[in-house]
Amino acid sequence: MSPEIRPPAAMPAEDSCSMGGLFETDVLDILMDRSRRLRLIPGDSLFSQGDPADRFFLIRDGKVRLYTLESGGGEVTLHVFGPGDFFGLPAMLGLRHYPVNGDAVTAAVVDVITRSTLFARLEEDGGRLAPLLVSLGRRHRTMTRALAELKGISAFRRVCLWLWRELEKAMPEAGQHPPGTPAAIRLQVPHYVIAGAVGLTPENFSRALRRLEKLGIHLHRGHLTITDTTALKHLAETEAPS
Amino acid sequence: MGINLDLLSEQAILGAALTRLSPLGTAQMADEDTVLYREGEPLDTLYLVQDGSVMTEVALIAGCPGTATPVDIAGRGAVLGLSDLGDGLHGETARTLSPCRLIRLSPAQVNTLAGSSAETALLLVGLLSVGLRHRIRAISDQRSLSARGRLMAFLLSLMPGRRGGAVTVRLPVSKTTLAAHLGITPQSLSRSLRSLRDDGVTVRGPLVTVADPGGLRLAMEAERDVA
Repeated sequence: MSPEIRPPAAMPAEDSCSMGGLFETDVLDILMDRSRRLRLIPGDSLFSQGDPADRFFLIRDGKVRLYTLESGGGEVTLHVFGPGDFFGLPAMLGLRHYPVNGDAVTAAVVDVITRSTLFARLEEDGGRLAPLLVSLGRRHRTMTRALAELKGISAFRRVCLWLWRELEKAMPEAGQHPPGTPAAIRLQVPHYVIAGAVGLTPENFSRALRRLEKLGIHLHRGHLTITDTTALKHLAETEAPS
Repeated sequence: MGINLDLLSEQAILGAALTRLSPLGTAQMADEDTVLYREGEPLDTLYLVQDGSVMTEVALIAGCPGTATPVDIAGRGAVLGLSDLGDGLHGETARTLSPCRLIRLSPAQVNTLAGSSAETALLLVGLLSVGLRHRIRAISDQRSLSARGRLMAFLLSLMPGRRGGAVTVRLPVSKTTLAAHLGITPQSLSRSLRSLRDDGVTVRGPLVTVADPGGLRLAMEAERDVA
């Protein structure tokens, strides 16, 4: 049976690449009228490590990644944000400079809110910032889980878990599939972004993909093809012998 | 009201939390190894840590305490449960690592105060930002440092600001828990501890002596470069 290919879910509210995936319209309403909108192309830089941290950003569309540069020239992707995420606030509140770099991964539309705007809003009415607190709290929980998974789950299983979550997003019924059910979905993220999301170097991520191919799970040019979805579910839920 | 940026540094935020929030709650003493709340329980109390340290952990499989993984050790000035205000359920389990002096705060009262006072709202945003920065740092260390490097970073976190002169500290957790906190096996922890002897780190039971914290910091940064 050849599987029907499902497109990626439109504008997911919870993006597994992002830290929060939160589209808090209340926060938008509070800040939008005084924000500045930027349109970015892939690779555009929003800020570099060491730049003064005087603003934070809200993504309306597209993806932005935060990463650090190692002294050997390598990059460590820390997070990829999607629509509805805001980032840069923790650095703006308490650090003088951004500790990381921020670049557009895809074409993106980003609103910029300066420190002076935020503080002016706070001085007018601090209570309206309650949704911001909720959003930050949820992001904190998402990152806490990501950290726990990084510590307690093998790299290979993290890849399986990430793919399984994408599959469940595109096919919510995947958890009920009988053994032997094939599936195919399209993913909108490049491999290096997935590698960053699961904490792997691109080389180790490629190694994991080669291992998955032997198990009937293929990811090629954004197309994820699975010969048996229950096998992927099993790999995501249990540690496989290395 | 003027907002002073200099007051937004981490130490200032934690200090402000102690000053502003302590009078709002009731004091509680907790013995070592007391579970303050469990993951999934309703949020009915926030805990401000006045003294002592508290470990937070997350179960990798929901409802399976055996899969709990340590994520953080919170100390003076931290407000535990603050990230759960929106969802109303605890997203992690909190367990004291030492006898603790805590202030119990009502989530409703904190919410009300945030709604009526810009300074309090900013303080709470600042507290959550401190927590987020810690998470970003921990995730970055987990990815870019070797097991040995993460152990160095952990030991240095026990002696903040120390540069010169030998320092002896007591490990706040058992070596098994420390290994889980670092994301390594107990065997790998033992190997890493042995390998740090050349860097002036000696271990006697739960006591760890670092001969030169400044030198250890340089060695840790070198680990980051080669990881």
